[in-house]
Amino acid sequence: MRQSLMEKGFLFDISHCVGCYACVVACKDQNDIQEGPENWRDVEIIEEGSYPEVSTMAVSLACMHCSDPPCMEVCPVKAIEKRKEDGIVIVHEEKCIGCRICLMVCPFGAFGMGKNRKVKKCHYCLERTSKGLEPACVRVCPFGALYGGSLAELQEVAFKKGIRRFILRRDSGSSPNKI
Amino acid sequence: MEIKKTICGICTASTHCGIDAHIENGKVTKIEGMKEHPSNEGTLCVKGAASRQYLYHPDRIKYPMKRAGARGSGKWERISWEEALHTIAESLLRLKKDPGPESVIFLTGYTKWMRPYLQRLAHAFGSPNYCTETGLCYSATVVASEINFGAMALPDLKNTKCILSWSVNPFYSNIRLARRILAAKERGVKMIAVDPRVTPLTERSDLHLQLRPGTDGALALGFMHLMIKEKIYDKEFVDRWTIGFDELADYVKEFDPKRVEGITWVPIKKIEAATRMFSEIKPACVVQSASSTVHHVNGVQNHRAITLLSALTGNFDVQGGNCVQTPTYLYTFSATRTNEEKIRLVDQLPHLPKRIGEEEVPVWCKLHPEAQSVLIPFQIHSEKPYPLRAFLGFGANYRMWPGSDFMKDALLKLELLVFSDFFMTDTCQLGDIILPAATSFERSELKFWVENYVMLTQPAVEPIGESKSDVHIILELAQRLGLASQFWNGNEENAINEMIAPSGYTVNELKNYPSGTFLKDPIPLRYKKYEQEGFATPSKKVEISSSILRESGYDPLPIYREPKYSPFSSPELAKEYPLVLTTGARLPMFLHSEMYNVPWCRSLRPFPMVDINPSDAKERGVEQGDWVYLETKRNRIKVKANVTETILPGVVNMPHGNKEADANLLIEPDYLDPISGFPGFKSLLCEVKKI
Repeated sequence: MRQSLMEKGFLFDISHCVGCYACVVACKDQNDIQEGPENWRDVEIIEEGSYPEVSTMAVSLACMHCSDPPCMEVCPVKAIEKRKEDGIVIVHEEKCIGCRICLMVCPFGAFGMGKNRKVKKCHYCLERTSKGLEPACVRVCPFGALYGGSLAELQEVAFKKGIRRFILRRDSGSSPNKI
Repeated sequence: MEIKKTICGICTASTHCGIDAHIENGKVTKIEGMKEHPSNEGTLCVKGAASRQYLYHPDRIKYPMKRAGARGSGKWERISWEEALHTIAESLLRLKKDPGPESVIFLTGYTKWMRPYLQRLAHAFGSPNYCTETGLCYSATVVASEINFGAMALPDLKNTKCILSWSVNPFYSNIRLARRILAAKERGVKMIAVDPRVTPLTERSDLHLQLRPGTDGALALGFMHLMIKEKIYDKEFVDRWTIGFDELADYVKEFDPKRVEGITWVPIKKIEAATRMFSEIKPACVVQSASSTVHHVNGVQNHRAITLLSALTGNFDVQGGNCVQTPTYLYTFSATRTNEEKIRLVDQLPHLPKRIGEEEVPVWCKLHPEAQSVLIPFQIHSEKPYPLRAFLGFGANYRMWPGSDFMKDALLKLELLVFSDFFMTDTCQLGDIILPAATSFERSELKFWVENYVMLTQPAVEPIGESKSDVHIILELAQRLGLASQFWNGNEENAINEMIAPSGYTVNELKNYPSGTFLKDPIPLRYKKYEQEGFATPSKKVEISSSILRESGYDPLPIYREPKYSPFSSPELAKEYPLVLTTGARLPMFLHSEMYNVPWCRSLRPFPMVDINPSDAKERGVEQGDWVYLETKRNRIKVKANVTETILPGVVNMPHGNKEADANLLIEPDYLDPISGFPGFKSLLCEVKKI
């Protein structure tokens, strides 16, 4: 499927994610999701190495609104749609039969199971984004790890971040080293 | 749908965030960070994001209640505000006559916003025993700084070129500060982090000095040793503006890098690199924690050594260094003044009986105008120098105290226990009368921010049940205690008008700015104020050797002492309890005892967990998620193991405030710093045993 630069998506800057979970709870507040296993966005903290060379990474993941969504491919009842106008991948709950095949093929673990036995996932905060607001997770993120917008806008953000890092490294002679 | 402007009141007063509350039919339906607010600029932390479940929690106290069975029986009878306030006032007036007003303790925990009014109430009533949670958090860092410099000095993050952060992880505790540190990092500022743990801040720093908890002082003295040896300290500043440098130079001779490595477990190479980086890059600043450096039994002296690094490198009160500022209101530094100190009736203290702690911690009491809350249970038990009879707690929780069961027993000895709170906590369960407090969404509140911003919030929603703003409760109680004229006859707006008079604002003017406003006449920040005024210490200089400490019989130099319980100071105990225990570090989703009851937060960390390094876990046959006993010689708690490389081998880290696994049960009530009375929460000995 050809991707249009006007399609919406998330940009995740791993260097700025600290695993604070604000995005997880902001998503629940916005979408009235109960506590517990149904997370439309989730955060995982990964450790590498051992003392004294330890590093951690935090990753915040939700539906990436893929250009070619495998969930849509496998859904036997065509309950999943990638919207033509903005590329947002949505679940038509009234069609969903709760078979969970989408949940199994999703490479990002983006699906949750609702109490009504229908799959649920990020719909890019349609209630907000249709009014020109950013998704709740993007709005809440205190550290600039999550961005929303069209792919063209996100490219611009990524480019600017890249430039800033390039200049920083040039100024300090190299990337900051740890002893 | 309507958007109302309010603030989150969950964490501490200087870091609250602006909130847009989406309201439908008088109820909050969604919340988001307020974009135009300069503190959080539209963002929130995980706790603030959970505000809706906090506000509408089923355990909110809705009505005043009195005990209808034995204390702690959980039997309550709903009463009217009239009856509640009348009963409290009657008891207090009786106690005022016999044995005396000093027998009543007025204590505030979180939220802190009613503090000036509660202190006024205590002092006007005649009790010197106004105490706060700050009696074991933050105030010792202020006291340490005042001993050295006569004032607090804040890091100038906007203009600095090097940040030395010391045992602080603002990414989980203070997003305002963390965002400013990240911005500095993006500017290319060099960063050194001292922390026993791997945290988002240490991960983003150029150097991470992973020290054994409690050895902060030795590390700072090790820095000084190298600065003096390599002559990379600011000789001109030191010669002209400090006293006691020669004594210090003599004392730090024994803190050579090799010995400091042995004490702190920080490799020599890192000590040397950090010292040079911090000494050579100008300007450089120290970012300190509110409390972790002073939660040791040598805390004040350790903290003195850390902050003196600013003076030795000539970074004190200069642009980009640590700058002296006077708090404006509620621990917040904003470029204006208020009548807070006057309203708190601080000047009454010399005319009142001795405060709790005045004999035990005279320096802390001299520099901090409160009674020392940590020592409350000792005086309740001993009745010396006078008996205590009643305790009025606003957001109080006995689990704050080291040996929290000791404090609980002490409280139960009192005649009258009154608690004002949002939720029916297990501390409220001990009370005789319970008052329902309104949250930040339901009350009107004055607040200043360090961004030179001010807000007088208006209620976003009607209070839950009959809950009331804490300040209303205090004003109404004052009227019944015969203090109406000193309490603006119950008119809160008059109170606020008097509070903000020096800032040039009035209540009516501030009401025009529902989302707050930048100060109209910010007082410009001046640097090197000491050149005109000297330092606000007895000698008018930076007191490396402190006259205040000497007078009270303490060591005047910022000496290093091992934690009382450590592998080196108590090797016998360490045979049975070989691991160093540090407690109370923040997780992002909880704050002290708060938010454990809020499902959105709780579900992110459903079980109490102790962080243990994989090497220590392996030795004990412990795997991730195993139930273990975390045990000290005092007590043990049952928790799950979180096997993680983010904690230094040989050290375990246990968050506090969780009533299901209360870390403070592990700590003796008298495990205290002799200068501040602060508990040694962050360095003792323990063992982890698989169940």
